[in-house]
Amino acid sequence: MVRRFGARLIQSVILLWIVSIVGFSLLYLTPGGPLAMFAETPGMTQEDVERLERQLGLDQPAPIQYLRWAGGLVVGDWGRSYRDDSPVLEVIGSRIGQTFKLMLAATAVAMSVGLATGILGAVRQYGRFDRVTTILTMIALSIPTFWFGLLVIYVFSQRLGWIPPGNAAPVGDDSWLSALHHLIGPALVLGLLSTAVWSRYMRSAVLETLAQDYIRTARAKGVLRSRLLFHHVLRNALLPMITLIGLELPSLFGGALVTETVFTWPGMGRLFFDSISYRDYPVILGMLIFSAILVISSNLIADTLYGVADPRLRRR
Amino acid sequence: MTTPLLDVSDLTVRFSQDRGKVYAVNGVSYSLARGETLAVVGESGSGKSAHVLAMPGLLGTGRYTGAGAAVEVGGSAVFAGKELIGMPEAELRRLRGSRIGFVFQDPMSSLNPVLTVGEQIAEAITSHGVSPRTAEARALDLLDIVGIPEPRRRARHFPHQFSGGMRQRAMIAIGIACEPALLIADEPTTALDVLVQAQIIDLMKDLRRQLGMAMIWITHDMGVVASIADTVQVMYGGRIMERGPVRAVFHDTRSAYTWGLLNSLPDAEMHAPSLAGRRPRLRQIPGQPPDMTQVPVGDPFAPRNRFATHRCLSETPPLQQVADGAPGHLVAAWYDLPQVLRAVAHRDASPQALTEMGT
Amino acid sequence: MSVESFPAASAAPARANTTVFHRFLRRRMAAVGLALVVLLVLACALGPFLLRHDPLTINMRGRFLLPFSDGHVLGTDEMGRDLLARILDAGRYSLLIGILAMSISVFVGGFVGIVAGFYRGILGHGLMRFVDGMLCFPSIFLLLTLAALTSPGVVTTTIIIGLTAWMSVARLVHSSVQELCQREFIAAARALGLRDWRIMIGELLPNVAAPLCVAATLIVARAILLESYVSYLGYGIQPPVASWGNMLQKAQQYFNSAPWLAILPGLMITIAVAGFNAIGDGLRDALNPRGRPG
Repeated sequence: MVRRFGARLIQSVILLWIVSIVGFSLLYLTPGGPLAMFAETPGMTQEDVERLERQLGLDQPAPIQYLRWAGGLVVGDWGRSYRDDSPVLEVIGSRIGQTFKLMLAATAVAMSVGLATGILGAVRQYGRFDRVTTILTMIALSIPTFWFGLLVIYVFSQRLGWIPPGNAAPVGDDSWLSALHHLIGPALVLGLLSTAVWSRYMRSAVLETLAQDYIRTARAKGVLRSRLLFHHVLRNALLPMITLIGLELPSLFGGALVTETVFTWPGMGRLFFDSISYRDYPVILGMLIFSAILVISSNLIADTLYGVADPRLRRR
Repeated sequence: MTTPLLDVSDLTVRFSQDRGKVYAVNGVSYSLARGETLAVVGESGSGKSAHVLAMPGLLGTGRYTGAGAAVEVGGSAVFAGKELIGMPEAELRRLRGSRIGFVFQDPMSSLNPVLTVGEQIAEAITSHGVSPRTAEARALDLLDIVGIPEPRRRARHFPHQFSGGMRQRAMIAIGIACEPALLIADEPTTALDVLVQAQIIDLMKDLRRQLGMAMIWITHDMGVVASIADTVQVMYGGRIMERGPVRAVFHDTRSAYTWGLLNSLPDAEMHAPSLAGRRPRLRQIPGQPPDMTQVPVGDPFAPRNRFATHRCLSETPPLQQVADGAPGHLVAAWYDLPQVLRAVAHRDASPQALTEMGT
Repeated sequence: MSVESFPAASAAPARANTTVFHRFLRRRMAAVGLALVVLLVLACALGPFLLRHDPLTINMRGRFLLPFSDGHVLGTDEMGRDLLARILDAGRYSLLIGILAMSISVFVGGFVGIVAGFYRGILGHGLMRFVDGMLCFPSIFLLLTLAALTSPGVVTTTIIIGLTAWMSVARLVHSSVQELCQREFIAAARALGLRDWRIMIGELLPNVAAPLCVAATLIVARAILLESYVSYLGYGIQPPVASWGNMLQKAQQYFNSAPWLAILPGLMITIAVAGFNAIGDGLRDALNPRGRPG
């Protein structure tokens, strides 16, 4: 178990290193470069741009730039924003809380609804409930998040007035009730896609478990139906779901970005759009790396949990 | 005559699936006395497992089973005075594990990987109204009975920490946990090494004697049949082809299919298990196994039987007492095999010709 | 599970007529998906020739007309352009981008997957670690970054979508190729002295074609969705060229007064994506009848 974790940890570090190279090269190779905007700014001469380039170290060859930047990553100096010169980590840190809150709420929705519908659908495969959820999950997987968000705002906010049209909470109002009220819409919208994914995975995991020989053995023992479901089927079917948390994270994070713009949620999404329109390379790169670290570490955690939960892996 | 433990009459099993119906079992009737051991023999798809598992509702009729195919079971199966076919699932559940025990083929996949062996044995007992504490103690006894050393330590282990033979012993402990009147063993030794097979067979013989239970033993392996069964029942195409005391069926064979099965094994290997490799299994008889999606007509083996007459192809032979045979020796055939074989011998053909030219 | 307990699976030989296509059509959702996609493609391809309205003709007097008014079946938009004509015209771009981006993905992913699966050594390992690395970034994130930093347009958007969606194909192909390389026929091909590229194209490619087809269909769905995201956010297809995504960008401002302007393009995206997803799912089940139930 410890060895397994150690091996996975080393793999993760290597992956992180690869990610840093890929991320850096992507931005480095993109035409235009960080100063493209200044070149068009009136009053900036060619000399000014070149001076700026030297100041920022952008005149150095790519490997040098990479090494400087990557060295900074390791010690926690992720560079400074071109926009207001504040440290990248600080900029990200100021926004990440709201995004995490949203992602957490969405995951809670997705796991509870998704797992429940997946289990119910599988237990009565091809029943009415199963047919309906199969179609609904297919639609949920296909609907564009932003459009669904617009519809939710239109129906539940504009027409019915049940939820606020956006934002986290009005200034000065920091009661948890208001925060929750503002969270409902975006969490539902962001959670929809994950709900469908969880439901589908859970359904096929339960179906696969039901077809196992040990389920027949349990029935041959005369095990009660409720015990069969909770003790035998779910214990086995939920195991692979642990890794789904890690696998779902990239799409959840991407979805959060889009949901935030629709609901004008003050998280990473808005920061991201501000940064790309300013060509704020250090922040963009920082956010790319940050999201990748999030994905890698959550995969590592999920994998470790799986190793703890599955007795077949526990003692090796 | 005392009432039989299990009385099966005209049992049918059909699977419905996308491609249509599968006629898996087509009218099987027999009875099993208390303490009797019946071996059911046949190729894959002969209906030997399907008919036995259908009776206690283990073929997908119950809820929460992953079988994609819907199952229809017809006919009657009376176990200890109670009709099993059509019995509500809740009542069947109470019978399973308590009065009817099961041992399945592959102990690795048949044991739940995430529960300890001790838990899985105890569960067979707690499911029938015994307190967990008593069941735990009983589970340790059972591990001892089936010959697993250090039961207290082993009970806390998971199936993957056991060897193949040990797992099958644990599986047997589950099967006999409530001292059932009937133990259904579905190819319990097929997945095991030859040496382990012999140990498991010895163990089951011992247990049968101690508990006085009846057994239905489903197998491919004619060698096992000879060593454990009182009665043997040969199945093909969802029907019983021949049935009777082991000695009678082996030495006074009346069905061309049984004859083919027995002749596909070299005689020396049949009785003494070879140490070199696995025990010999049924070799292939020429021809295709029947298409079970068609409504069965005639003797199912007829298309592969060299001596089939027109009658065999169109009319299903009833299972009848062999006229000059041992009591209880039944066969379903329109032809008289000894007579046919004498005729073949007369024409100077080897008995193998029957199977070789059967297409 | 022993075969005996399910004679259904073993006893019934697959009949000649239960081909992949038959099995595919037997799944209702897949058949519906196929019908939707065919209908949509036909409508987008032929529709603009049959309609009397031009998608670009501006009519400032006939703005925000309700559906079924004045000969405009779906009404008009904020510039008085016929909505149906615009939706069908936009569909051409959205579907075309989806299919072209898929082609790029399948080509790049298939190439990387086969090469990495065939050459186990440093090359294969390195390629797959690169794939792992790319997959760590949320794809929308990656896509938007690239789209925002390059100049947007139909061609760049297509290429960028294609280049951010190939990794899953590579993984899939890589694992099948690794499996195939264990089999005898590859060893035989090697023993015959066939060149590596002939083995890869002649032996491996046909054997990964089936999963590749499934992946391709699902990627079309993803690509259409991704295109709508970038275009909606303003970094994809630029007006006056219409795509379903950028129609929504404009329409959301008028959501209160003219909700149909936003509802219809979104519906089209959902239908198209669901159609391709259903085809992909159906194909997977049909090609692999005893695989995962789903």
